[in-house]
Amino acid sequence: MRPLIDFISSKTQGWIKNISAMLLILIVGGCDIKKNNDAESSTVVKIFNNSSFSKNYQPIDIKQTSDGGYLILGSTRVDVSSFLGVYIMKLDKNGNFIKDTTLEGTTLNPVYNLMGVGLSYYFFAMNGLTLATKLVKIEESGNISEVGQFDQLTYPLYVNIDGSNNFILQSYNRDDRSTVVSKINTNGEVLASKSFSIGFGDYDVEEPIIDHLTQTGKTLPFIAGSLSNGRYYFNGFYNYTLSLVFFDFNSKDDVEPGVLQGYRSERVISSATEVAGSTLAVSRYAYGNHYLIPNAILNTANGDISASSDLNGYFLPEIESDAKIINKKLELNGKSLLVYGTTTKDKQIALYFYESTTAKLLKAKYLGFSNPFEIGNFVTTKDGGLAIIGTTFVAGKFPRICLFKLSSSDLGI
Amino acid sequence: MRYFIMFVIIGFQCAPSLAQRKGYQKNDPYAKTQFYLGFRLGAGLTKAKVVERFSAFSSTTNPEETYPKSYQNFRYINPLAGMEFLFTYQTQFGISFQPNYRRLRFGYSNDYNWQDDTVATNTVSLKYTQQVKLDYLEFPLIFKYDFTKTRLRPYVQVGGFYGLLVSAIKTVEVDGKDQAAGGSSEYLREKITVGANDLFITSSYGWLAGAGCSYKMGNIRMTLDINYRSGMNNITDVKNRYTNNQLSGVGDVMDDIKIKNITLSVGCLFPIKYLTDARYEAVD
Repeated sequence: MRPLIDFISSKTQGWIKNISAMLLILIVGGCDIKKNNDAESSTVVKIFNNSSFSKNYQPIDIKQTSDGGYLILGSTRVDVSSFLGVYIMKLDKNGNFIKDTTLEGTTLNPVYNLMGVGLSYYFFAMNGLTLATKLVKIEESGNISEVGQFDQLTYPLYVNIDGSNNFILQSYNRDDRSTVVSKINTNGEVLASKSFSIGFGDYDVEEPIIDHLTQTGKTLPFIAGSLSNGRYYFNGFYNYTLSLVFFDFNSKDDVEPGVLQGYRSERVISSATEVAGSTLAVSRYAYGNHYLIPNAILNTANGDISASSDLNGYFLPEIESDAKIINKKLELNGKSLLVYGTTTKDKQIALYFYESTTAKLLKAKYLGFSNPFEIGNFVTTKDGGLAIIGTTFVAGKFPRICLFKLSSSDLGI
Repeated sequence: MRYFIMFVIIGFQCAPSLAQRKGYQKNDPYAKTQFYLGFRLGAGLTKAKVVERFSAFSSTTNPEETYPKSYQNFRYINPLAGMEFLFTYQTQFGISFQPNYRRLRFGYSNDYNWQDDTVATNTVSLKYTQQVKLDYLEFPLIFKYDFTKTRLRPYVQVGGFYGLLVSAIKTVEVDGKDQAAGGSSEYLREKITVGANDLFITSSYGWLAGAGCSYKMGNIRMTLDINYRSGMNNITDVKNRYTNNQLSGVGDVMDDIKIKNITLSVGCLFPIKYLTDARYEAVD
């Protein structure tokens, strides 16, 4: 019996070879199927929905836990007070909801930021009855405990952590109209504290502070932090105006701090992070206009006084007039970056990535579509990506916490 | 479309004038084989079979809530057009290569509801309706068996296919019903249409089986067949599931899916090998 191939002419055999080659190319091209089977999504978008009509949630900060999951500190409106309640949410490593809790009792008004020390996470809140500041600890096991209460420190406004794992807390003392900055350790001991007089004048700072805390008015850009030269700074009310103030805890009371003055709460610094030495990455707003200044060289020495309005920067008209701006120095994809996060006028979350050494814009990224989105905070993740939390108004109505976890490749930097 | 044109050109290049002969003897190898070149047109219905469900929404009140999508399967007509290269041996056995350009369409919807804690009749509901259009260039290789050697030949066929994604488009419509503002108000919020190539991997493969018949009209053969095609791989790009800002922004992310499809097609096959006697008849 003759083989089949003998019945096929040489031209036909050539045709079959051509088609076989084409099929081979296609099959080789099909290796994306195998890759896809083995792949995991390193980018995640989650909207944490609550079917209740009247619930509303705002995120404050996010931290990645040792299991790769996430811990979110947020706030929610409660019935017992005009101040916001404390809301805590735990997610798994894929951003899936595991559990949440709203703290009951008098612990209210959680402030920026959530700070991780070892396997514990700390945040500051306020006693809704006495207005005293509270330090609260969250264990990775989920256990929540109060570390301490500071009766002399009322109206906590903002907290940050320094290189020695001490907390730098900014608070407001209504009795003597002063801003108070305190250094507190994880055991709840106040290591140092310094008051800065706001003064009594025709501009009453208490009303905007209360509006800020109850979220019934403009959100004010309170900041506190430390510099690598051992000095500290805060952005808060000082001498009738919201200013960026540089100081030493050890300096005598009659020593004037370095001040980058604003004007009331209308023309002020809105974010600040040290880049190196006296160079800071800051942003400022003036009557609704926002400027990013990734390489501002500031006079931080005691007694130096300058005006924030003198800082030139990049005017970004797309930023919403009252938008919060978060500014952090981060390592991403092996690069040292200054990342600004904010909210645009068309209600997207905007991220601006600047190279920290050259202050050159590498990329602007916008997140969210259709429903309104607002920035909450952001943090780098263990896989080299970026986790961003924000608020989205589902159906245009219901404020819900959302998470964007972007992989390093999605960042495209 | 450019892929389709490319394969038409390649197809005709691969189809030389194979042979013409003045006659043949019984058992002549020339009479045992035939090549056909033709085209096919058809329409199909598509189903997306869910392998694993995903949602951008995550419920904080009911951990069991997965916000499953409700799929509208076998609902939309999907056109196809392509070529056919058929080699037959001993008249009844055939191997057919049918490169084609086809559209696969399916849809799904999500429902979300919110209720007032104190007044239960105060509700807001939203319905997200998505439609997915996938254009594939496909390369099926099919084995056919004709039951008869008559003018009308019923046949069965089995084979496999490999597909290349050419384009993907997703459309999302959001409409809602608000019963919390003192009455009942229905509204269509928006329609979002986006290119979604990134949400799907390029390749797909699967098996197919079907039956049909061919009818000889003069020297050409008309075919009519129906095939069930079963995709064997997840076509959703796992890595890019959440990367489309416009879609994930409204809470829409793709499930892992495999595509199933029923296609009815008609074709016209032109024989290549002829006898150049007075009848100029094709080898058959």
